[in-house]
Amino acid sequence: MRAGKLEIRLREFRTSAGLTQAELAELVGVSRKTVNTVENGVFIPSTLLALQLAAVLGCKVEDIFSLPVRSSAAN
Amino acid sequence: MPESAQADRFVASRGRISFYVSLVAILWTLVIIWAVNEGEVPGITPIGWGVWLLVPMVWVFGLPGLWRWSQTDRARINDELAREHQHSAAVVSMFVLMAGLAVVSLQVLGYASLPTWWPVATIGAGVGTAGFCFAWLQMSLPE
Repeated sequence: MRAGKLEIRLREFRTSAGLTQAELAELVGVSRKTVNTVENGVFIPSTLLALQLAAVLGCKVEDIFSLPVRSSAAN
Repeated sequence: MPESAQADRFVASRGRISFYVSLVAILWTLVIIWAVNEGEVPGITPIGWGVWLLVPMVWVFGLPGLWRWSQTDRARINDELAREHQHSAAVVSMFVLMAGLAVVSLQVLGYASLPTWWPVATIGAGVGTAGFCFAWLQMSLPE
């Protein structure tokens, strides 16, 4: 999922971890809707929430959120 | 049902409730405007109007659930997405209030002549806008 210029792979990591949106929300202390909006690229989370999501899912923040790779290098 | 699930259900219904309490605030404001125009404002009506205007404000910007859920669940209910929506609602509401007050200042400076109910309408519109904006943001979230 892309939110503006941000690539979001939260759903992939969440399903890999075998968690539902509600379970992940409970673990990081937000509502299920917040997790859903992050997954759908509607809402870009704060650094704190991004770090919490990464910690719970056992990965790095940049694994979940990253800038899209450009096809050609900028001059 | 666990408390966290109930809190999630509350989050899902919060936008709808915000819409209804704001609608009542707007309708009450219209009643006040009508009464001012008729020159017959019943004694307790303005007090009730003022008190009711606090309801959407507390609902949108307060801490709903203070009486019902634990501190953890309240943090979940008022998470950063809710705060983002509160912020957006405050910005739109402030814009409406400032626009209304700018027109009032035109009257004070002698450039306009406003009806007596204008300040009432401005306050009601500001409060209603905050509630409707918050409701729209909450209700437009994907399920």
